[in-house]
Amino acid sequence: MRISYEIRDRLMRKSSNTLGLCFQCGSCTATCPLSVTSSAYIRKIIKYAQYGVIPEDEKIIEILWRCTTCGMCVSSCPRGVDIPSIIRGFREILSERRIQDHRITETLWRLYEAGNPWGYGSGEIKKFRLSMKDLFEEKTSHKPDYIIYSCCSTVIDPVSQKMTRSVATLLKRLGFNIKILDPMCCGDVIYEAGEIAFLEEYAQKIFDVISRLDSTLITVSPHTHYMLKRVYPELGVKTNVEIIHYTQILKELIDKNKIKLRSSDRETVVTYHDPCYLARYLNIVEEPRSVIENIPGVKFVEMEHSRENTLCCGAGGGRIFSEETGVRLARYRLKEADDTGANMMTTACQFCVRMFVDEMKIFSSKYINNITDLSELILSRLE
Amino acid sequence: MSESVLVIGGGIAGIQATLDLANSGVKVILVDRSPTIGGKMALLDKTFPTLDCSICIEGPLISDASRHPNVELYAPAEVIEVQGDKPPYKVKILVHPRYVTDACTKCGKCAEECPVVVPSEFDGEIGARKAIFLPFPQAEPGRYMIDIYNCLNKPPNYLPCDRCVKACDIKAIDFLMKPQIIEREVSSIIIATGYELIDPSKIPWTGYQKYPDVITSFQWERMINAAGPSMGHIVRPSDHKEPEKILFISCVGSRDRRYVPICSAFCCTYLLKQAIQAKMHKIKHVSILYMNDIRTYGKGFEHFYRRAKEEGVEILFGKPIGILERDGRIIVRFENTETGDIEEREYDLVILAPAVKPPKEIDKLAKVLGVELDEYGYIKTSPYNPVATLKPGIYVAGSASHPKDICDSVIEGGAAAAMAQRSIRIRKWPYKEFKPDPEIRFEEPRIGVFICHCGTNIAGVADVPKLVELSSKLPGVVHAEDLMFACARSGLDRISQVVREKKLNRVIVAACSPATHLRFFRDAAANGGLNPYMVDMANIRNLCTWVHPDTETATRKSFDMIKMAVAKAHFLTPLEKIRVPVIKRVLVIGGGPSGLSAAISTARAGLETILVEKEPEVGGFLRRIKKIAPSGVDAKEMLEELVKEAKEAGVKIMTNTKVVEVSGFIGQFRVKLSNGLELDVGGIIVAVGGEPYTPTEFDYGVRKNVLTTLDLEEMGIESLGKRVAIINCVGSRAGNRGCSRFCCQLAVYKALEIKRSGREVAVIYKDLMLYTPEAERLYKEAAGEGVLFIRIPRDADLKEVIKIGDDHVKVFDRELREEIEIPVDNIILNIGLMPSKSIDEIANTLRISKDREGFLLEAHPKLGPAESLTAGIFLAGVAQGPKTISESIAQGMAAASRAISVLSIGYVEKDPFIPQLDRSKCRLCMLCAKVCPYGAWKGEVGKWIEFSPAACMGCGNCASECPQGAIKIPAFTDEDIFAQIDAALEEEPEKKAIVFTCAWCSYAASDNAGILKLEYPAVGRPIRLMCSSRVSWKHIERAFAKGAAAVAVTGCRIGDCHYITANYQTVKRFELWRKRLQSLGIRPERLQMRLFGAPDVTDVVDLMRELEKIISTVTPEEIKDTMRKLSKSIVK
Repeated sequence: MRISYEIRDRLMRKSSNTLGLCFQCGSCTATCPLSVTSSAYIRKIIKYAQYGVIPEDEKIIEILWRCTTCGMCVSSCPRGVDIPSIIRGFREILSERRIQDHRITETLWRLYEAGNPWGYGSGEIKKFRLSMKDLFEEKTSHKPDYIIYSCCSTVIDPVSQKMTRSVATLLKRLGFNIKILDPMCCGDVIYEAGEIAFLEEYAQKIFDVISRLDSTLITVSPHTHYMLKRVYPELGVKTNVEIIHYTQILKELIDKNKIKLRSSDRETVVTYHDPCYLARYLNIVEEPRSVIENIPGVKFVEMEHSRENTLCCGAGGGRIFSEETGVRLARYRLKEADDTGANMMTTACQFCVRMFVDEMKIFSSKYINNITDLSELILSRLE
Repeated sequence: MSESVLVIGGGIAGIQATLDLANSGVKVILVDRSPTIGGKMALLDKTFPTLDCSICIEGPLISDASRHPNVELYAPAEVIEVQGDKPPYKVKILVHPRYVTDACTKCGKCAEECPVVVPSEFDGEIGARKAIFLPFPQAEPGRYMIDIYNCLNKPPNYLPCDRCVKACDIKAIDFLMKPQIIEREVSSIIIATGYELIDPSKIPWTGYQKYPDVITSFQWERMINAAGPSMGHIVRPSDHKEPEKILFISCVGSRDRRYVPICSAFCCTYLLKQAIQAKMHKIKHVSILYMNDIRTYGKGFEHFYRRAKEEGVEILFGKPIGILERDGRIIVRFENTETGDIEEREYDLVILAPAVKPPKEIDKLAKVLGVELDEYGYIKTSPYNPVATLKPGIYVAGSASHPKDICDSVIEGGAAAAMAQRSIRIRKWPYKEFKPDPEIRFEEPRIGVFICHCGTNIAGVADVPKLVELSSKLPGVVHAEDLMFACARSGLDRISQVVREKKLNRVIVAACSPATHLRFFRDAAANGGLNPYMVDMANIRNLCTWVHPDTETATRKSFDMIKMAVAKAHFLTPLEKIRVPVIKRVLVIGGGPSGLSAAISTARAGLETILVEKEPEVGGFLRRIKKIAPSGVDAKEMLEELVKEAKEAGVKIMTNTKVVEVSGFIGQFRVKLSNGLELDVGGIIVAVGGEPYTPTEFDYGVRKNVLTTLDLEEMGIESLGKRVAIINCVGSRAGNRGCSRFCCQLAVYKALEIKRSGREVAVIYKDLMLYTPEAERLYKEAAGEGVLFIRIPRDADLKEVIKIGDDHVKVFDRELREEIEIPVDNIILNIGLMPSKSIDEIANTLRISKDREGFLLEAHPKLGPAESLTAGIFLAGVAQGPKTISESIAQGMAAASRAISVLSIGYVEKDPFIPQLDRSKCRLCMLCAKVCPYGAWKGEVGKWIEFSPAACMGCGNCASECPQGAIKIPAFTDEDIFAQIDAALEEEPEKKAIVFTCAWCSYAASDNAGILKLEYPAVGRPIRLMCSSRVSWKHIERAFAKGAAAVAVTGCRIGDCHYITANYQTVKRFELWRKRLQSLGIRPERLQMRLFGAPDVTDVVDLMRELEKIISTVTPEEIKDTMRKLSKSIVK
């Protein structure tokens, strides 16, 4: 093993120089959700990075691709090392060397060819547009109050679709003029795969869409929000309009007393799962809580891991496109939710909902009987 | 101009500063926010690395500080206003009401009656106290206090509860006491406000307060303390069961960006201490989980680490991310960074080492004082002087400026005092002279026996009333009584009173250890008009009730011990302390930073100061380096500043000069210099520095590209190639060598400089000993800017894990367990510090000892770091052990402070245990001179003999050696010793062993065995002498002749003797005694010898068990036979 100052420098830059700070305490490895059964080698990965050495151990390569970039390691790191960025840096180098998780490769090809990572055609988008017809007029002279950017999975995933629909419905019922953009991949998977050249190219597409907007943009997916707010601006892709996550607008409207909520006849105990990107990357933790706590008749309980200590659902970092191997992270999270005694688990990310809804099918819960997105919960309680 | 100094904070740093100043005639106003002085040290069980009992060594200082006639003590109190931008400062002190007047006798009845129970902050909140309480028995001011916040009464108007008022017989409780404001003018202020620990419950992963079996290290200290809430028993708080498997966790919040980003400086080593103690308490599995580095940078700490491993302590590395409870056990999850495995280990008890933080409201105090705080909230200091704040006349000591261990705090306490000395012109010693009561006569013994309950420590085991009754019948005893706490002010006053009323002419206090308490009882007797040397003690606590839990056994042995003391008392004679005039002149040997700062300090305090330097120019290391790491201060500038100051202060500097010969003693040393000059000086400060290690490893001297850090200093960074590797610990931490302390900081500083010059640089290290905030911050900067840090295994041999080639270094990386190759153009060996080449010469000339590494041995590793074991000789800088320049400067000032405090009064006092020569018996054989370690005896065989009392330290070696019995040591005469032997063996001698101890290590080991409550057979009857060399054949013979089944002689370890080499004679004589026994047909095994260190408590137990075994083999016939053979000796 020989040190490469070149790779080391590259990874240093990737991590905003935090890579050097690691002093090898192993908090990251111990806290990594992938370490539930055996070591996830995160500490060693960082040491390799400090040396600028690409690990050869296949188990470590696999971890590099299995990482959900949930950021739990960063929260527990006493030095503040930006570990996910280093992992993305490694992925970047591995991708250059054509060492990739084949599912990621396939997904990227689909995105390249079909314009979305799922591979659906333009017909599907048309169908989606028609299904949302009741919510907004496509051709109108009215300037919309809000524009909704929904995740590309909305086109084919009913969970995702329901979420966009409830956000839109909510706003409409409150009297706002809205517009829903045609779902378009936010490029998160390109970013997570470390395909920098592709991402730079793709950024142009995003620019074409968001640079022309004239009203506040509401994101539904935390991943989209992160890409638009943090990643693209670094690549020079900016917009003049405000970009906010839907949980933020909900809070704002509740605070302004524009949303009036009612109680339900059944006692509802709600716990909230913080999506990693929302809580750890974007620091949006108070807004969803404030929204839930404002619902009359709802008892809010916290899980053991919450806010910036949230546990990953298993979908992030491009993992939604891959099979989960070994550990099923969603199960651990469901168990924790169930342990709170809540009968409803809510969250604010289409991937999280998807993961939990799927896991729920094979999970025998004691209390949880409903997994729903926060927007749906609010919609159902609107007066 | 005012001549007072305000000391804020009465922890060990503040106490040291207070005592140094007060002893040198300066008025000190000592203010503490808490109800007592003593600080954190008073609450610790043991100190590392010697395992001294913490309160036992600090207690006497607490007491001295509070009773000193030059000290005004206010506690609880706080400084609320300071006027002025420069000295003198007008200060206002708010003294909070205690609601208990100083009539309090500490009887404790009030606390018994008080209905309010709250967790005790002095017991880490695992013990409870009442609303009226005394923090701990040795607390000063020594009276109870009402915690009015928790009290049911809210004075002045709402006073529903009067239980304490009713319980107090002497009406010492006053609910109408008001806060007081005191105004003083002071010339200096010393901030010694110490530190606090963070609350681990604020750190979610710790599980602290969620699970009762997760405790803090401070709670552990209280738990393992014999005076703590569990009486020294280690139990799980959840079920009070003894734990079998325990884990200590380091860095709980320390070095963590989210909590405290800097190192807490002393946890690494105290965890080793606690783990060793756990092992001594027979806990089966003891592990310590270190985050990564083990920062054992202090003197002797590295050996302590090895000792922990030898004792079977498991050392783990990793950082926990979660602590849970499952089935009553504590689960700790972490990555074992040595194996790379995720571990979830189960423990019965987990102990956290919480991060250190500045005390609360330090910002408020800083504002009042007008001093700056650093980014971590500590008092900011000058880069030139570690104890100076940025405001004139305001100094700082101890952890107030950043976390420090006791030793470093003591040094800074002294250094701050030395700074404060600079503005002192007038000195006063308002000491009370002892006024003997002319009505007390000594011929007819009138002995008073006082038996202390020590709470339940003695009375809970031994039958005290019975002891009183038996004692009252002993010959010469005219008074016997018991006292709840003899050492409390009430107890001491009672002794004075009885002495006065009953005209006692001898006093025996049966209580604890004379090592810590005899002087209080002497003072008490003196207050009653009795000569203080007519007082002695029987240590029935440490040597009896603490180690023999059976009431009958303990009572019987206690009575024997009292009887022995009473028998000895008959032979006591009134003595006067010896006053030796001192010459107010100081010699400083060595002109490096420590020597210069010492010389400046003594000269500024009005002591004539001569500094000798063997080189042509002063400066020491400051001449060999350009910049001081990590502060970046210019070395040349600093040196110029020091030299200028030395000249201004009037220091006489002699270069190219060495010390050739030293004779004499404290106050009156005669020194011959190489320039032919002869000087008389009162004190000597040794600051001869050290020597950089000259490497033989890594092809140094062969390969041109291999440099040392010193070479680099000369050649400059420009001479380096593009790629550099720095290898740490070259010449440190291997074999016998400990850490060199300064080099890690240097590595980080240099690496950053190299990196910033556009080069690549790697630092290869074992542990980064970056224990100061500045060093830790610099490390973060270096790491962030791309300096590569490579850790090699801690216990590895450098040469085995680092291989160098022409253009690369191959290093075994500890984290990956793989070898990494680093291309390099230059390799820099970060060399450590060795003892100076002239150290042997110096040690021999001055007759002072060296430690196992070859540096000069300090008087005490915690409380006497700046002085040698020889009175009047002080130590500073690297001569005493490796340290940084800033630390050397501090120690230089601390040594000066000690010298000032000893010399400025103009005389030294010492115990009068010095030989009296019966010239009629003396045959001028001069054997006495041969064995005297101090050269106190002078003469020529058959011609003349002379004795200089001032040189004598009182070991008694000469008396044992004298074949004529012409030398008598007062208080340790043969008659004294015989009387004790006879008394001890009056009943059932066949079941007993006479055990001779010295007054130092071997006695301390027995004391400590008591503190640790180690149980052992009650066969020994101790006779305490000053040194084991006082034991002579006569005493051995007497014991066997009186029927003792066995005799043991104990002393300090060879090399640790408090009389330098006196115990060499003990060892020699022991061989002779055994031979003599053999030739008399007495089994030599019945005579044993053991040499202990103070912490060797288990050796005490082993000895006692051995003696018990020997005794069991001795038949009545054998004893009779022995007695018959030796019967002649008794006739004498």
